[in-house]
Amino acid sequence: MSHSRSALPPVYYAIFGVFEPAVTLIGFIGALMDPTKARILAL
Amino acid sequence: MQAPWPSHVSPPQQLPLATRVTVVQLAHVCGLLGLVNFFLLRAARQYLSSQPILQEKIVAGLLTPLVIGDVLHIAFTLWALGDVRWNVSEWTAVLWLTVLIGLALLIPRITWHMGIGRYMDSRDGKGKGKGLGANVALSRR
Repeated sequence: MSHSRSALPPVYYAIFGVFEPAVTLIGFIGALMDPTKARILAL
Repeated sequence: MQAPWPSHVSPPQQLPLATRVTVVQLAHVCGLLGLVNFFLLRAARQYLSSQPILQEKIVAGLLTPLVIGDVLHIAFTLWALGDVRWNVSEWTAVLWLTVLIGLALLIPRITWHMGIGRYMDSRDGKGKGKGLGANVALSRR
């Protein structure tokens, strides 16, 4: 099996460097816009 | 955060200021983690692409605490659900989303640490399995 010469190939970069920041930032913006709803939704 | 709301108690429609600030600050920390990921991993790809050994060390420095966080996040979520934690038919959409997103990050983080689909110095480097790392002078490698 051949291995990438990068410790951070595109798939991992897309998950950790793009998807994860997007999810956390969307969550932050949602909580900022309506903290009460965010609190109730999270329960 | 994902503890079930008791069925006999309605959630409050107006939260105390301290609670609202806590929610916003918690969300802020989560957003901040995302920003750290974004900038650090982008820098690792841009500036360390020709040095996979260093790249691996730096990325591991970020992904190691995060994999611990992934496990604890799911564990705390399940703990908070109490006796109904495995009654998945009662899970809310938000709870499903929390668990699935948690797994969508935990699983690739585990595969990264296992070296699947990426360069892993202890397996692919010149000092295979000898623990030679980025602190070894390049002339010795």
